Amino acid sequence: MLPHHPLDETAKRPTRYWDQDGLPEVMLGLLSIASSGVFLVGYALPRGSSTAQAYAQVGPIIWAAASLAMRWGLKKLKERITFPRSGYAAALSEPNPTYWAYALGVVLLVGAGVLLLNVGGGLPEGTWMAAPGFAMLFAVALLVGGLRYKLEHMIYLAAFSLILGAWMCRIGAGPQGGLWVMMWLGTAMALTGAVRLKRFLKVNPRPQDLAI
Amino acid sequence: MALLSGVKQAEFLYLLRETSLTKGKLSSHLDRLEQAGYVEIEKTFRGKIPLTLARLARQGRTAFHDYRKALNGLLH
Repeated sequence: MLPHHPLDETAKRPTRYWDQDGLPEVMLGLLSIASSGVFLVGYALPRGSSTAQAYAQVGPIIWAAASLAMRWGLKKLKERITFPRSGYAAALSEPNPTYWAYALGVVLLVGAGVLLLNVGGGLPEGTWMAAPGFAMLFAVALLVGGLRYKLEHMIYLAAFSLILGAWMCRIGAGPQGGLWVMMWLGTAMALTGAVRLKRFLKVNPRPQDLAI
Repeated sequence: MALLSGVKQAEFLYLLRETSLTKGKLSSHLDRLEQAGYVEIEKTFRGKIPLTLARLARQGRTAFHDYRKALNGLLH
């Protein structure tokens, strides 16, 4: 018998399906590492050199290729690992008004945060806004995601993002601070995703009989 | 119905795991819902593996929406 659940809760349950295996988190983490890595390499090259100029042309292509590769990789891994174990469900494509409310909330919170930081003037001299900006943006997105999809670890990742942003401000990381936030947060997400994937594989053995 | 209302379509295995029903019971439920016109069943293949997909029909979505609305009205 279907356990007693409120209908609304049961109808919302499939929305958590997309990250039950941790794979999107792993991919997002790897993409963050790759993206920040591409730009950090650019920063490391001597300014004005021919190498830097050549890299400026190639870097964005590498970034775009990495994004596409991650998307393709996620699709293939879902087909090979997730669907044979827990079945396949396609998300609804209809626009959800709640989603846009969340998105607007994120934009407003980030804007308020940036404004507060500017008005407060509490940042050390020379600190680039990228680090706290990135950190806050990620923190808000993770917090909203964690609350919406009931993923507790995302709230801890949000706190980690804020700590990273504060640390980058503290050490005066400069323009690269935001990229380092992305790199470390990406690493954390890849690790948490991997742990969840391991747990998913343990709990969901591949069924012997897939024919219905 | 509640599970299918949250997705565009879902595989039989997904419904099996989420409902914790046996294969027979779930098949029976889906058959009855299909006969009532609430659910559409599509039998296809993923590579060489047979795949049964279920989705709510328009009539089913409307019926479920009305039911949910009525239930929420009674509860609140």
